[in-house]
Amino acid sequence: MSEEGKSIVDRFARWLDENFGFTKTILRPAPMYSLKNPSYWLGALAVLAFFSAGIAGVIMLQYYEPHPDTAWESVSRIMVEVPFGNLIRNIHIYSAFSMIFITFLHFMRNYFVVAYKKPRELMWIVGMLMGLVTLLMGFTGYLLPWYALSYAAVGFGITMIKHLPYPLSNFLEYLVAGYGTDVELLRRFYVFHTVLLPAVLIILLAIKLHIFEVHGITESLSRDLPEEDKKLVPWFPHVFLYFVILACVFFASIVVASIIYPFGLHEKYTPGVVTIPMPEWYFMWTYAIAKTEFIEVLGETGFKIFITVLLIVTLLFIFLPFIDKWKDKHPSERPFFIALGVWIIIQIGLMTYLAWITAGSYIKSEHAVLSIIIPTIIVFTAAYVYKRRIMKPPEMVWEKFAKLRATTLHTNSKTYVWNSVKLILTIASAGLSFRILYGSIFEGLGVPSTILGLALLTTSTLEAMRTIYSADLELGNVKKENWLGRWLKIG
Amino acid sequence: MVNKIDLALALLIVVQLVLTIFVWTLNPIIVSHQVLAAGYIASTLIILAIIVYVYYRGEDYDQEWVAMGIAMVALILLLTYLKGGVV
Repeated sequence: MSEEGKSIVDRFARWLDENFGFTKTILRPAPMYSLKNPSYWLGALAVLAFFSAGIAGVIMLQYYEPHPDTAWESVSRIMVEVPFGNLIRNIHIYSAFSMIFITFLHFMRNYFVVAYKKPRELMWIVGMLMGLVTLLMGFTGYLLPWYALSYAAVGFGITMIKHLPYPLSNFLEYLVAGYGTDVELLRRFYVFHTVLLPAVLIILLAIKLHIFEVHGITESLSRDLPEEDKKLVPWFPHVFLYFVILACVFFASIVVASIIYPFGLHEKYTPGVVTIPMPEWYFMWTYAIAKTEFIEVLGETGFKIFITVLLIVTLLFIFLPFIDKWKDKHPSERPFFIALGVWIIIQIGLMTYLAWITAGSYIKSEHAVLSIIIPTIIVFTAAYVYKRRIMKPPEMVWEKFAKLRATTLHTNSKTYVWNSVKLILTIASAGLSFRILYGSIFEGLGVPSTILGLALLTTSTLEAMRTIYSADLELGNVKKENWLGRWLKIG
Repeated sequence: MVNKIDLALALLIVVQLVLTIFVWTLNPIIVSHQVLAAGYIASTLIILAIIVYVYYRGEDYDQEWVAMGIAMVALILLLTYLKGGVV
């Protein structure tokens, strides 16, 4: 901090500290390296998303009516008649979506950096349970607007529950759906979504925070970490201010998403309405597996196999700390664990895509098999190649990006403006190219649009490559100007 | 002694006050007003993030993050306009 103790802000901060005792907090200090990489704070961001969704949800609770006859109408009223109602509803939805997405990123990141090893086994298990509760909150919240679409999707979810092992299936079915009336179903989902699941999540969060405070941030896996990055900095003001920055950017993203792509209202469910069961995006991959041709052909048995496999995989991941006995934690020494993580991400992405494009029909067996076999061959062959040291393991992506400095430090204000303009153009042309290419493929915009989309995509990709390459040059990752440098006119 | 960072922070508080008063005068039922309000709130949040970052890092701030923040504010305002955020 500059000119410590002189500025108004410093004096104000000191006054606050005298009153609140921030610097005497019991919250443990964090290592400097964690404040240079937001991936260490994904869990905290998920908590932020939870509270953001919660605050918006509490506002909506004042107007929502949990009854099949009036639920859809009350949501419609929130959107049209309540002050800022439409915005608040969208903030609630986007916060919930980001909570699920960030939780998944947090899970995958902790898997890749082996954050589940001793003494963090219980932290991993509590985190996994929190992830499952988060998914359940999404599942229960989806029904509340009483759409025909969500009613069908929940029906699919209840079918999954029915196929769980007895007596768990009967118990859970009664717990979520009662005796089968719509009034009971909606009321139970409402209570789960607004009271029980948030309460469970807060209890689990308290346990996880306690374990986090005991063990602190996970160790950096970087082998050449500078000494200054290992230094511990106090929670206040360092971690606090860093988190204020992250929180500002996060909330701004949620609000911007709410205005770029606001959610409307789907068709209301009334008895007799027939619709395709379409779960939300985060359940699409399970839906895809359930509606593949070979599962459908096997019928009841196929569905039971699917549920059993899903259950076993979930349990394997929950108890991963006791299964993974590999001693070395560094990713370059664990190519097959890394490959498995990458494979899971690819499969979830592919299955989600397949479910989306085949809405209303089943996925053909050959498509399902190919989408499994091709990524498996590519990913595990690459892992084998690294294992045998046929290729040198590359510098870890996050290590490389942690060192990146995209521009040189100038005090010239013109450089700020020019860099800002370049960034706007790059981001805008990348976004626009995706929109135009999407339009060319699915809306028949024609060949000129395709060429324009490809040109924009190429320009933005080249600019991104140029930025990374110039940073590489500056860092010394690239020894001298090569063909790429000459081509991009850098160096 | 008031330094540049304090001045920037004071300016931000003034901007935030002006925007808050302006948002207060909007009609919260009209969708275009909601979009405008959301755009302004998001921009203010990004500006706040820039100021906290510069204040936190002092002389040692990275220019690219500040440039990215400025770009984001411009993009948000552009999107707000394109999405019909008008009075």
